[in-house]
Amino acid sequence: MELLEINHLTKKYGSFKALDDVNLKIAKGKIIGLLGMNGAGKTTLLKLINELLIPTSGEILFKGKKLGIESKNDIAYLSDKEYLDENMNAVQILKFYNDFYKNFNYKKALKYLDEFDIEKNKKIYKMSKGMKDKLKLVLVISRSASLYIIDEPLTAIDPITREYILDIVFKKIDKNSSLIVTTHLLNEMEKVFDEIIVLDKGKVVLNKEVKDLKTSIKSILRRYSNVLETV
Amino acid sequence: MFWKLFKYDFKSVNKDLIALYISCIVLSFVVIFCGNNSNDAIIAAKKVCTDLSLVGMFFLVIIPFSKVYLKIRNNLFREEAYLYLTLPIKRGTLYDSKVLVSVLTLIISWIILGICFVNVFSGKNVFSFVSKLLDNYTGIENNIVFILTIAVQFSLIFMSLITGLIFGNKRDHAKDLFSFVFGVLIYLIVRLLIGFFYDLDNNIISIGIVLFADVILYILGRYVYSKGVNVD
Repeated sequence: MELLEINHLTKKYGSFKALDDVNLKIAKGKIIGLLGMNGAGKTTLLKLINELLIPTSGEILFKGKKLGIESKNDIAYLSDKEYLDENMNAVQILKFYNDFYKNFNYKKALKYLDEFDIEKNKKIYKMSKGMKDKLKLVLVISRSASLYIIDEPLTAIDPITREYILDIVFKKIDKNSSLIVTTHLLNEMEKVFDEIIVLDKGKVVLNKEVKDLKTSIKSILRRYSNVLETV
Repeated sequence: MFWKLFKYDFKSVNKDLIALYISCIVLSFVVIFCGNNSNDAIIAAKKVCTDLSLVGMFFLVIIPFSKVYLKIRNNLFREEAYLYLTLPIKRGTLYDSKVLVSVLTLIISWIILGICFVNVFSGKNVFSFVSKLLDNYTGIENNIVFILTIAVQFSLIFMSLITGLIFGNKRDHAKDLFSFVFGVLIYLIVRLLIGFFYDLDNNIISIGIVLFADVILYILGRYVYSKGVNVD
């Protein structure tokens, strides 16, 4: 059974098709790069997987079942939005997650706070964008989920720290879990992908194992845009 | 899960309001304490406290109402929905918690408003005012009905705006504008329907009908919200 199965998924905003008859299968234990230009439909797809949008048509199955409470508990989603309660501090938000997610490891999360230099008692609204990004990442990787979805990770922090943190992230995630990452930082991420999915104008135009690619990911993306925004 | 969420929601809404509640109550009791003293300094202090109490009472009407409305809007439809809607909780449960917290918060703020109002305008503290009212049954009945009538009118405005928010966020564009427009339309339609059947004088039946309309709006909102939303 596939971990995630997407069948004929379409999402329209008015007459605009953000996603157009998307079909995908995500297997266990893969790191997948979800790529495409701005407006290609990447975030729409991730939001649909997390039930933040209502599909116009089509279905999404997680472990063979429709999305619901079980899938929410088993999918860890990191959005690029500022969704945390700004009046909480880092420890309070960890406790919040610990209260609601059975698979959240509080002790591990506290260790990550130290490891990533996140101030435990600082209110979130006082944190820099980079520190907030790191905190959101800690909340996601401290869960034992079957599927991790990370949308534009750590864009607000310096490349050296980012590489260090992402290296930890990829090592810590269970080998049986899958990870879907959207990113504009191909230089840093390209080497970790097992598979790439390229979206263009709401359609899947490429879905391949990286080892089977004959050209680099960058040159593939060039075909879908005159301006190479992703590099 | 409901009570865990309720605890977080209640704390998050009310922790900032506690300062407003306490300062309004303290100021209104200072007005009582100053009494009819002829000392110039005390008269000046009483005037300042009365003015501040009036400002506080105005804030007690506006701030809790805006806060609970924005809490629902931000938690269920805007960026914070990325946190709440991905929790392993049913959408209906999320909605229940937010609405219950809102209703309780509004009740608390109205009780405090009532206490301040009595202290500042009756010249007697709220306890002696209430005991005097208890001696005169017909007086208390009219006053309670009057206060309940105003409170349920606010509850109807609130539930109409929340239902408007849900319908407005089913759209893809101009969500805030349409949420407000739908909210106002829902309020007007409900008022027209109620007015068609009953004369809305201050009486127990009209209060019951407005509360019934609140419950209908709550059930409708919960049903529509449970079917899913489009978060920005």
